[in-house]
Amino acid sequence: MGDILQLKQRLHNIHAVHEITDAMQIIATIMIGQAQRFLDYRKKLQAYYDRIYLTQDIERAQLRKDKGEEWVIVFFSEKGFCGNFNPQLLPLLNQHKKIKNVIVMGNRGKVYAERLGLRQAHFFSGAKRSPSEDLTEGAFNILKAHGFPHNVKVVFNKYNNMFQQVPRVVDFFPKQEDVFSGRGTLIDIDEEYLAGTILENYVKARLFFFISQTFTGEIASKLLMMQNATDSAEKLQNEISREVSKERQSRITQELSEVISAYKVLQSQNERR
Amino acid sequence: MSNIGKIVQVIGPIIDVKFHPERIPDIRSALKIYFKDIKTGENKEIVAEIAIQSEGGIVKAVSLQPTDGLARGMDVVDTGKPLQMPVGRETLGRMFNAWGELIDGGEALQGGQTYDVRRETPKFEDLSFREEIYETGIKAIDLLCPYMKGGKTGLFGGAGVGKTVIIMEMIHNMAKHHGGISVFGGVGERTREGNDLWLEMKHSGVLEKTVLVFGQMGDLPGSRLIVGQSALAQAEYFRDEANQDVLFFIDNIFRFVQAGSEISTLLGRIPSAVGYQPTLDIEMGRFQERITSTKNGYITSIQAVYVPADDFTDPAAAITFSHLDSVTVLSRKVVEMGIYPAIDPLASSSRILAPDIVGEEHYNVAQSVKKTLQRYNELQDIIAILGVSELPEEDRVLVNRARKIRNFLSQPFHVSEQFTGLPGKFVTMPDTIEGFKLILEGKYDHVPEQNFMMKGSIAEVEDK
Repeated sequence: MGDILQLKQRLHNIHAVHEITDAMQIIATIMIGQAQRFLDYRKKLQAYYDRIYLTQDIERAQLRKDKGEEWVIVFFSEKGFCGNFNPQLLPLLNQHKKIKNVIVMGNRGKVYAERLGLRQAHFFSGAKRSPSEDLTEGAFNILKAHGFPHNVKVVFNKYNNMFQQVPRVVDFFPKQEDVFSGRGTLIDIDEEYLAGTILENYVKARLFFFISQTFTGEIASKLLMMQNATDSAEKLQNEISREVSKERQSRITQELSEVISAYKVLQSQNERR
Repeated sequence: MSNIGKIVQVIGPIIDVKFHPERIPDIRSALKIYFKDIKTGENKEIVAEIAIQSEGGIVKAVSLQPTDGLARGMDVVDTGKPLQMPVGRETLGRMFNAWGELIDGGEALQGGQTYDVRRETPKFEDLSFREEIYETGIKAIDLLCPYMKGGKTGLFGGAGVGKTVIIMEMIHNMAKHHGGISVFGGVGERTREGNDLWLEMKHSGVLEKTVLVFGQMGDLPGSRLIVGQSALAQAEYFRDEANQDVLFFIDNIFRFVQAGSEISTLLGRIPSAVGYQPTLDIEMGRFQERITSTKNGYITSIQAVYVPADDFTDPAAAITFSHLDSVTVLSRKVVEMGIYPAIDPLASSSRILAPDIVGEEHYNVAQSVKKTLQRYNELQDIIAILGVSELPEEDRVLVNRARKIRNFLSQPFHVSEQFTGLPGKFVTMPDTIEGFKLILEGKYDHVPEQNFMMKGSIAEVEDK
């Protein structure tokens, strides 16, 4: 009987986990549509921001990049249960481990940064139901305090679609040829104005773009993760239910055979008498 | 003048014999039937043991040999004594059947000393206890369920999980590291395994110090019921008269119960739980109580116990548990993971795994290993649903170490070299404790878990 009780306890626990994963899956399903629409909008907007950013003197920007200190910003998820979303960033982050100036975005980043020994990093997080521009504040202030360094790498998961978030390392500030491919441009703008207004806004917008992308990726990963978890829980539930039924049935059969065989022996003894 | 009876009925291995009402032989007396086989014309002899006395001078005897060729009215001779087993130094290196006949094709014995197969248990005041570890050289056993010199150990497991292989490995290690006399009782197992064992013993040079007694699965239940006791009589001789320590192996004690159950049914007794004989408890108790250490010498017993349908609540397995000092459980789940020996570290236990007997360090390491594996076990369902990556950092580290421990519990055996292609390893107790201690301390966190499979000492893990 001990075995059946144990199996039933396991079944109960798995059922409880199944209910949670099921609920999380439903929430993720609702959120993913909203997040995708928002990301599409931000992607379109970002193209304009990139063009505005590149109105500055590119040669001078390049010079700042070459002379400036190296920085890396890594975007982790805010919450757990998103499968390989965070671990797949680690090999890329490991390649930039020697860079002293590290900004880690996302609550889950703390665990991974600690694992890689990045104890000096600046950590910023703020879990919200939808991406908010407030989240850029911390990282923005750090960059501003260091005079907006231009040699900044970003490690993040590029959101391709719901099933594919690819880990990437990109430059925080875009290259002219990437934005204006094949198009000549001639811009005449006041340098003070560029540094004071456009750059600050661009950094905020760029940070927010990565946050939006990470947020969407996190939701998508969570959705897939919860789908898999729900399937696994159902499979386990079925297996254990079958075991319980098998065990129960074998005990019934055993009891019946014991009763019948004892009856037969008694019957044969009576016949002999 | 010999006491002669007549066969009145033969049903399978049960022979009803009518004696003169005033000369009815005792229960457990041995009977002999001499007859000429009508097909081959050969003179034959059948040995039987009286189990029941009925009204009218009729006794029911259990035959130890096939009853083909018997007929009603044939003469049956009462030997006037119980079944006898040859004992003495001249039995070393020889192989017997359950009723004491040589079956190795060798020369007849010269001595002539015999013991009753069924004997009394030693008196309480003659018993002796010592709490000393018997080192097997098998890591999983030595660490988690150490065997006791002069104690009783059970190797529990379903079909094909490796009980016999462990016994053979222990016989192999015994030759190299322990010496001493051993007695092997082959009870109701495959005849091929008996042959393998004989060859292994010959190869490893322990045959000259061993007595083998076989009643294998092709034999009648009477033979399988009595063979363990016949082997035990041999061990008792070396303990009581030669004053020597004896290693006593039985493969497989479940077959003893099974044979008892078959006979019980044939004798028309009302079956008890799960169809076993109503006398299961007393039969097992009488047998196990004889396997004991006295002031004259020690019998260290290692018994394989088949667990029907892997159900440890089966009465045969449950009744055996209560007599043992240490229990090694072999698990099918471990077999499915490809880990040999397939010892279940959480279900196995030993009475002597206590700090004052095995020492503080051994005890602490064994307990930590069990705790780590227990926690890993608890996390299995969560891992199956969500994956290892979603566990907290502390649990993830624990899971990694638990997997390494699980793999490190595997070990290549000398007797299975031809199957694994790996040389067998005998691991000393200090090496075993040190290895698991280092894994628990995280000294091998950087080594992949596959490196821990089929290794002897921990030093070999780094060698890869």
